Amino acid sequence: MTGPHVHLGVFQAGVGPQLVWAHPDAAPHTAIETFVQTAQLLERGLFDAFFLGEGLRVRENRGRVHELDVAGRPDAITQLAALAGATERIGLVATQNTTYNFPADLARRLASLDLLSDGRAGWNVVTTDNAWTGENFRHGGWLAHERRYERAEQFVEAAKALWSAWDADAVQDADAKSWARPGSIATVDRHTDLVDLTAVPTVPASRQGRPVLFQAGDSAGGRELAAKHADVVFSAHTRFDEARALAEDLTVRLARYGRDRESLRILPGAEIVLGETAAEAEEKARWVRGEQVTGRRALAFFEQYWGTDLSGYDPDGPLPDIEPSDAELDPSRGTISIDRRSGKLALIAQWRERADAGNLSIRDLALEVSPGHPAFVGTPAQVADEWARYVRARVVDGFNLLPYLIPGALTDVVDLLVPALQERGVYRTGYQGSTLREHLDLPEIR
Amino acid sequence: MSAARPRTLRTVTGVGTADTYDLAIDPTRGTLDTAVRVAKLAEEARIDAFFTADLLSFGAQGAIGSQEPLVFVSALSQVTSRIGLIATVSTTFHHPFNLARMFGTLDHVSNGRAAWNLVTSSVGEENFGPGGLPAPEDRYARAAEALDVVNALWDSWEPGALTAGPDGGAVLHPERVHPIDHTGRFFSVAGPLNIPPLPQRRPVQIQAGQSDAGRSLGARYAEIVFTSLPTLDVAQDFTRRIRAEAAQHGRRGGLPLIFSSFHATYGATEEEARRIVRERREALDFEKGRLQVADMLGGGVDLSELPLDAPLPESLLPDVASVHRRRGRVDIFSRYARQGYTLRELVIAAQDTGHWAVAGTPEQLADAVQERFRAGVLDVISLQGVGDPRLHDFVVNGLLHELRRRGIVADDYAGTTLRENLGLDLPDRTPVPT
Repeated sequence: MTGPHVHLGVFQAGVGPQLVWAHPDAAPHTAIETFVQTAQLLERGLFDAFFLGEGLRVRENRGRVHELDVAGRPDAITQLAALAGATERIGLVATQNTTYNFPADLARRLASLDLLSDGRAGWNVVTTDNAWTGENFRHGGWLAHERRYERAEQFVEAAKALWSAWDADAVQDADAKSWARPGSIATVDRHTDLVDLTAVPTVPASRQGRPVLFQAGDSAGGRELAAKHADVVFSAHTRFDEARALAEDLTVRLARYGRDRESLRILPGAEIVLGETAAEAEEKARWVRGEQVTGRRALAFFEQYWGTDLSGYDPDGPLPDIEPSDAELDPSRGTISIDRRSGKLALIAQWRERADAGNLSIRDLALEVSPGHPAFVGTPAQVADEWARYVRARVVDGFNLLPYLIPGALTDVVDLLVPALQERGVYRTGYQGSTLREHLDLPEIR
Repeated sequence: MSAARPRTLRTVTGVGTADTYDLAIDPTRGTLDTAVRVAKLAEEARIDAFFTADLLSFGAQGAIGSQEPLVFVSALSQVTSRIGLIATVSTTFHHPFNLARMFGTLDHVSNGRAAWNLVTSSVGEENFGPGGLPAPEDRYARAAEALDVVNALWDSWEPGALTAGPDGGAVLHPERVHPIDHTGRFFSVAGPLNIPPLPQRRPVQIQAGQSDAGRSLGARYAEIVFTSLPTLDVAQDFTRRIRAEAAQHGRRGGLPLIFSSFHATYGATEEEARRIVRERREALDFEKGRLQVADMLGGGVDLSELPLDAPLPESLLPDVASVHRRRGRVDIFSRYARQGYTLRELVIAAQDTGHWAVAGTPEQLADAVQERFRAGVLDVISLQGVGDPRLHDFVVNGLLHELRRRGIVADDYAGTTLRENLGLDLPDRTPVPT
């Protein structure tokens, strides 16, 4: 491909309020058939990657299973290995955390996925520090928040060492006495304060050299890890000016590690709603938001912050008159930034002011402040124009779409938006390579 | 096992043996192509399950490497539809919550065809950080606790926890999803699992390892035990012991099923089979063989200077209790040495690493299988060579056909899940903590 192009992936979180999973039009969200059909649909749309989230505990609300959130997240690598057998081109990206895995084991599982898919694997590196998730893994004790990126960095470096331990010509012809040339596979020794291993990796490199590394954290620690090690940044910034600020910041950070902007793809997560006319798209976006934030979901959202049962309140009435508990916010409904965990009382005070000023009901306020807002709403032509502007200015390299409805939201993208992008010369008309690294136009691993 | 069905022998095949491991790892041959071909041929032949072994590191017997088995069989799940998928995964280096997720996902993607061949690791500890390899007793105690946790996690969703509502949309019933609140010596796990009920509720559980501690674990938990049983006597002794021990745990007769390896040498005539065995022995590298026998004896002895045609001195034989890895195999080879096997004979025996080895025509091999099946010491057999151009016809149209003709192996799959095909009832649910 020449010139700036839009690279597209789909991020299937598997949880969270943005997916309208219980709607009758939604395909069964845990069935393998749904995953296979989705991956094949994206392959028809010439997407770079299908990308799965990860979670290690069923989400809760007020100490019990949260029936309004999606429950059922497969193990991403196992799930994607199944898809490797049912697809031919699309990249397969697994979110896996560095806190509750062993480096040699995870590196081997990812290398196996990469080899079996013939070079289509990716790893979205995430960290977990919270005690609530830790309760599924420990006698007690977990990695301190400040140290999670230190562990991640040591973990990623160990994985990269394991993936490069085989000489390029290690595998010999089938008629050789031994399939590996003696001395061609290095023993990897890593003894740092948070990673300790001596290993001879058992899986040779795939055609793309190693799995493509995604990084999603937006903190300074996360951005630094990305600049040092990532191939793709899965960012949260979809507004043009914010996206440009991130790209500039990352370009400066990359230079510190001897890298340039071309060695990194920035693909923010983006929810998108398409319609035949602008008005229809707006109307559909309102419908999506209404499905995402029902009265019950609005109450559940605030219950997490209040730390108490609010089911007696009318979601169409004013905010609860009772004071919230002062306990720290727990992450039982998903990843929550540290300032929200400890600073929730200030946040609630701001919300009260906002509701009073605008005369907002519980549900009105939740519609404004709870996560999950479509970043792009419009006709395929409008969105295609907008995206072409983004990639030509190099503020992003494409998007990881966050579908609100599977498969409906994605069928629209493949059938309507992709042709509009192709007409503007910013989207491929056929796969030119076969590996994920090639799809992303990333430099070869040396 | 449903009482109405006559007892039949179940069959398993795979890639991952010494002859075929390179098929799975050689990127110049295409990454999945060989395995896909073998799995499809096996399914066509109505073999019950596809097996993948695992080795976490390179062995003393040469460089043996492989991909992670669970990832590997998961990739086969979408190109097959009936055959069971067995992945060997060690409990030693995985947390039970991750194990329950990984196998739970395999069961979902295969629509109920997952099986876990549970091992405790005797090699590979250097891959997994500090702590070293636990002593066998600890390894098995940890495995037992891991199994309790994994089973409780699989049972943590009651049937009907996730249903379709009146309009067809999904509905989650939180009162049917339970924490497990496990606190034990090795693990502390809150639960519930974050995967809806598995198609089989629990994947089929296979256990390998035939030391005393391994056999005890199998007697208590395993639905199938995978063993090396070189002779009928050894097989009868093993079966009697493990079933007696299983009965003490309140398990019903006939459990666990006995799954034996079978090292077959096929010939169109008896003479041809004998010739192949003879030629293989003549081609043996006895210097390499000394290292192999040393490995079979636990790896702590030096046999490099001993005469090939004399028995081993008693002083070289290890005290099995002092061996911390592959005790079952050390036991078998120490026994051979005490019976007066020469080093040359031990090298020959080491080529079958203590497995049941038979040579003959397909009919003669069927006789050997029939003898063990009728004696009640064989329920599942491993048949290697499916898809191998030299062997496929012997295995499928020879031995398997002959076993079917004799009514020992069923003609077709009995159900849709692996559990149904193997005739295994579900164990009772783990009680919900109060």
